[in-house]
Amino acid sequence: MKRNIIVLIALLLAALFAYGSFFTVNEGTSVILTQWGKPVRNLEAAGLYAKWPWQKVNAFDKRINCFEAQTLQLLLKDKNPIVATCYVAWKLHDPKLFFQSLNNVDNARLKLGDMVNSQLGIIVSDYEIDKIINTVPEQVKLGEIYSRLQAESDTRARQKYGIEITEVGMKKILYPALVSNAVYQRMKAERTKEAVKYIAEGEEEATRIRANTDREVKEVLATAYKEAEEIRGEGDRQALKIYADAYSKDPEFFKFTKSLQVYSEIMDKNTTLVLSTDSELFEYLNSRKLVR
Amino acid sequence: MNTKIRTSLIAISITLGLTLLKFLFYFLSGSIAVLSEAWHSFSDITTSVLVLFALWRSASLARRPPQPAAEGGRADGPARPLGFWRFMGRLFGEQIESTSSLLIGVFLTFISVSLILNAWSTKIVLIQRPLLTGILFLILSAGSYFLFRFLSDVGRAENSAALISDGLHSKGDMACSSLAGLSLILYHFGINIDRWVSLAIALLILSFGVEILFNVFAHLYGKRRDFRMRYRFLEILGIGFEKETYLRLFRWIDRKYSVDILRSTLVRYARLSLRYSGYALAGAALLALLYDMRFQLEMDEQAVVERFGKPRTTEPLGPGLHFKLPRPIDRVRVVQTGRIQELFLGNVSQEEERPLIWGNEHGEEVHFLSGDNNFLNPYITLHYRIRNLYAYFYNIENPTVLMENISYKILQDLFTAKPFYDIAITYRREMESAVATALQQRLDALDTGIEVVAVNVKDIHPPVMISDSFENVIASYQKKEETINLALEYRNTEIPASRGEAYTNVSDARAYVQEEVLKSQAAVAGFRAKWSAYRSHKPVIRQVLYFTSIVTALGEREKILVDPRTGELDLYLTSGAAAPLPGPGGTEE
Repeated sequence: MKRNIIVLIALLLAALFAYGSFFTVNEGTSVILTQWGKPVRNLEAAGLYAKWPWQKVNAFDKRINCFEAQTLQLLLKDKNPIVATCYVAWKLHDPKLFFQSLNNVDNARLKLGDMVNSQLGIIVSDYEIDKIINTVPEQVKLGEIYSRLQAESDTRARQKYGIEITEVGMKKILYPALVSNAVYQRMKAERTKEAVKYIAEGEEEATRIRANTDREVKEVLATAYKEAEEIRGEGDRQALKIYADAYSKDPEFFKFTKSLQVYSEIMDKNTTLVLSTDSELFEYLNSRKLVR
Repeated sequence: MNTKIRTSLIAISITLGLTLLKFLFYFLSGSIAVLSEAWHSFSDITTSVLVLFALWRSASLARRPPQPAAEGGRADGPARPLGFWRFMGRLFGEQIESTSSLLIGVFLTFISVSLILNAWSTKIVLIQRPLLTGILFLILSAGSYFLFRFLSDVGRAENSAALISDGLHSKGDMACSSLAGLSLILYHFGINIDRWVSLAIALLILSFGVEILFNVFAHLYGKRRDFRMRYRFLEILGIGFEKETYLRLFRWIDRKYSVDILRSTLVRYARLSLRYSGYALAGAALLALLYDMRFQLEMDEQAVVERFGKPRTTEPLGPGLHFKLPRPIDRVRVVQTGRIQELFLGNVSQEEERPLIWGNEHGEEVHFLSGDNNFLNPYITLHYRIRNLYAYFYNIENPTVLMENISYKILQDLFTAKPFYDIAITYRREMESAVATALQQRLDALDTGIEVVAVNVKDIHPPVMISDSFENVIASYQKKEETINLALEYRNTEIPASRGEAYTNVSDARAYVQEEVLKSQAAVAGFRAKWSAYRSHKPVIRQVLYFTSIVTALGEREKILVDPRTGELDLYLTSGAAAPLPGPGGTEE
C-alpha cells in the first residue's frame, strides 16, 4: 500500500515535469524563454519545443495589432484648434526589447498612443487649417502629415520599444464643441442665404419671362395691325378704282345720283328741315299756283 | 397576568414603535435595505403576538386540574392515538410554546423569501437623506438590543422558550438595523451596498426561520420534553452534510415504514453502476475523443489545422469531412470565407426597418468634416470577405478593427478635400470606387487576406440639428421653379392668345377688302343700269330719280316751310300730319 502511494506520487511528479517541459509556439507568435528572469532563447517558428520546467514561456503576438489612440485637441500653425483621433497599427520588431520595455500589449498600446499623439501635436503645428481641410485637393497635406508621423513614430518605437509602426493615421478630424456650434450656425446661415437666393432668382426669372411675354404680345398684335391696315388700304384702293372707272363716264350724273343718295343718308329721323316754299319742290304746294 | 405575558406585551409595544419608525424611514429614504428591515420588524410584531397567544394558552392549561392517565390516552394500550393525531395533540396540547415557535419559523421563512425576491428584482433606486436616516437607524438598533436583553433575561428566568426565541429575533433585528444604518452612511460617501444589505438581512431572517423550524421539529419528534433552541443555524447546515444523518434517516424510514432503502433495487443498481463507472467513463471519453477527431466544413467554410500551433498544410481545407488528432495536439480554426460580411462606417445602426430620413437620427452617428468646413454624417456599409485564410489568421491580430480604422481614414481624407454638395450628390459614385480601391490597396499592402467586395454609400446627410435648413434650400429651389413655371404659364397663355387676336385682325381686314370691292362693284352696277336709262330720257329720269329720292330723304322728318318773301313760317309738318307750331305766337294756317 505504502509502495503504491510512493509510485503514485512519483508518477504525478513525472507528469508534472513532463507538462512543464514542453510548450508550443503558435503561428504568428514569438516566444522568449526566460530562466530565473533572464532571457535564454528566442523562438520565432511555430511548433512543439522542450524546455526545463523552471523556464518560463513569454509569448508575444507577432501579428499587426491595431488600436485607436486617445482623442485629443490640438492647435494648428494658424491657432485653429482641431480634435483628432489617431489609430495606430503596429507589430513586434525586436521581441527582446519589447519584452524588457513594455512586456505586454496593453502597456504597448498606452505607450504608443502617448508617443504618437505627442508626435502628431508637433507635426500638425507646422500646418494651417487649409492644409488639412480644403476643397482644392492639391493643397491638402494630410498625406505628408501621415508620412512624417509614421516615419518619426516608427523610428522612436523601434529604438525604444522594439515595435514597428506599420500604419498610422487620423480616423477623425473635428472641431472642438464651441467651434462646432459656430460651424452649425454658419452652415445654417449659409443654407438660409442659399434659400433666399433661390427665391429671388425665381422672381427675377419670372419677371423676365412676363416682360418678354408682354413685349412679344404687343409685337404680334402690332404686326397684325400693320398687315390689316395695309390689306384694308389695298381694298379701299380697289373699290375706289372701280368707282372711278365707272363714274368717270358721266360725272354730272354721278354727282346727281350720289347727292340724292347722300340726302337720305345724312338726314335721320331727328333732323328738322327748314324748307323754302319758294323752292322748286314746293312749286305746286302754293294754292295760287294750283289755281293757275 | 404573569410575568411572561407582561414581558411579551412590553416587547410588542416596543417592536410596534420600532416598525412604524422604520417604515417612516423607508418612505423618507427609498432604500430597499430599510424596507427589508421594516418588514423584518413587522414580522417581529406578528411573532410576538403569537408568543403572547401561546403564553396565554399555556397559562390557562396550567390552571386546569390534572386528568387521570387512562383518559389522557397516554397510557400503553389500544386507546392511544396514532401518528398524525398524536402529533397534532402534542402540537396544540401541552407543547403550545413550540407550536407558536413553529408558526414564527414559517412566517419568518415566508417574509425572508419575499424580501430576497424583492431585492433581486428591484432596479437601482436613489436614496434620499442617507446620512440622517443612517444615524437614526444606528440609534434604533440600540432599542433592538435593549429588547433582546430584556426578552432573553426574562425568558431564562421564567424558563420560557418562546420568550427566548423572541429575544433571539430581536438580536437579529439589532444586527440588521446596524447593517442598514451602516449601508445608508456608506451610501452618503458614494458606496452603494443597499441591494446587498437588503439581501443579507433577508438571508439572516431566513436563517432564523430555518433555525426555529428545525428546532421545533427536532423537539416534536425528539425525546426531550422541554423545548429549547438546541441547534444553531450553522450546526443545522453541518448536519445536512453528514453521512450519518442520511443513514439515520434511512434507518428511521425502515423502522417506521419497513422500507429498507439501503437494500433497495435502486440503491443496488446505483452501487453496481459505481463499480463499472470506470469502464463507462473510459467508453464515454473514447467516444468524446473520436468525436473531437472529426470535423465537418460547410460549403462556405475553410479551415486550417494547427499541430502544436503550426499550420499542417499550406493550403486551407475546403468543405467536407476531415480528421485531425485530438486536442491539444491538433487544433482547427474555421472561417466562413465564402460569406460576405458587413462593416458599418459612420453609423452603427443596424435597424434596417428605420427610414433614412435626414431629420431622424440614423443611429450612433459619426461626424466628418467636408472640405468647405461643413459637418456631414455618412452611412456607409462595407462588404468584404476573407480571401486568404492564412494571412487573415496569422498576419493581423484584429483585422476588422484595422479595416475599420483604415476605412475611416480614407473617408476622412476624401471628405476633407471635397465640398459638401459634391460629396452628397455628384461625387457619390466616384467615392464608392475610390474608397474601395484605396482600402484594398492598404489591406493588400498590410497582407490582411481581406477582399473588399463593395462600398455602399447608403446616405450622406448634414447633422440632424440643422437638416431642416438644408431642406429649406431644397424647398426654396422648388419655390423658384414654381415661380418660373407660373411665369411660363402666363407666357404660354398670352402669346397664343395674341397670335389669335392678330390673325383675327388680319382676317377682318381681308374680309373688309372683299366687302368693299363687292360693295363698289354693286354700286357701280346699279349706277351703270341707271345711267343707261338716263342717257335715253335724261329730263324725265332725272325728275323720277329726284322725286323718288326726295320722298326717302324728307319722308318721316320734321319740316318747317318758310315763305322766303315774308320770312314767316308757312307750314310746320311733323311725320304724317300738320302740328301746332312750337313757341309763343305761332299760328297755324
